[in-house]
Amino acid sequence: MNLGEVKERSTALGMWAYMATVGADSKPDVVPVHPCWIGDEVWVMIGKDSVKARNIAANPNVAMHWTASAEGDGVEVWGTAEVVTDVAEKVRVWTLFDYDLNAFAPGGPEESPDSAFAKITPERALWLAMYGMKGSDRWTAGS
Amino acid sequence: VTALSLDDVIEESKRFGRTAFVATASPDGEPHTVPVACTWIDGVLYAFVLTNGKKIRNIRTNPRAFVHYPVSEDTNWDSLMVTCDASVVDTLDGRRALWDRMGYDLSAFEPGGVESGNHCFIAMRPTQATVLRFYGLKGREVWRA
Repeated sequence: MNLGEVKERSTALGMWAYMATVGADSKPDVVPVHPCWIGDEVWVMIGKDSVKARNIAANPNVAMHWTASAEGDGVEVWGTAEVVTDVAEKVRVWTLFDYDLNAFAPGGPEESPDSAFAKITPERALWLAMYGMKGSDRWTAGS
Repeated sequence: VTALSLDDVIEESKRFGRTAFVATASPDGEPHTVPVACTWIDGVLYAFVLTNGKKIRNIRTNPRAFVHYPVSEDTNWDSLMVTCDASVVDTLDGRRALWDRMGYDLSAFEPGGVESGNHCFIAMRPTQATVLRFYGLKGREVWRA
């Protein structure tokens, strides 16, 4: 599996993924997010002061598992994340999502100071067909 | 914030179905999350998993787990999140005690039956649970141990 296939298969699974982060106290957290592939990175709109943002500031490791299909196919992507609050970057990506971010941040990229993005650089991925019972595929950055 | 009892949490979980996303963390701080079938037994959440899987390796070194039931239109975009202290049930006696109580046929996933050590159980003792109504915009309910 190459990164293009990771993007293709994850996108085909639907709009929802579950993003896991770990706090400074080593406690895991997982929440549903609506990710968007932009180039070779995954972007997720988040609250600037959310648990996700605080966890990423303390520990940039994230794992994302897209909602599994009815057949049990699923993909998990691991990577490192950074919280993006720079307005120019927010403006750049704001309209690249497949849903209207203004519905959640009516001030738009320039007047929504509480909104931010998690930019995730994927490092590896695991595709499981029928929860792994029908096989698996892996991708690692640089491979 | 409305206070819940653990019985309220268990009842609430029935709306979401059996599968939930379980997050664990490795000793070096790498998270992992997968959808897992979870069953409440005597106030503890149990999952039947591969003994050599990542979840088990993580829990043996970091006993914290976080469970998030899937959010969907079917449940009005409500969330149910459960923070847990997790442990591994991998003894034969432990597996026997749980084998017939999960609410589905475990032998479909472990043909070797209860005697096989290839699968074991995660016991997740809840310490806190939170229900967010419509992403929290319509209220928040909390239970604490």
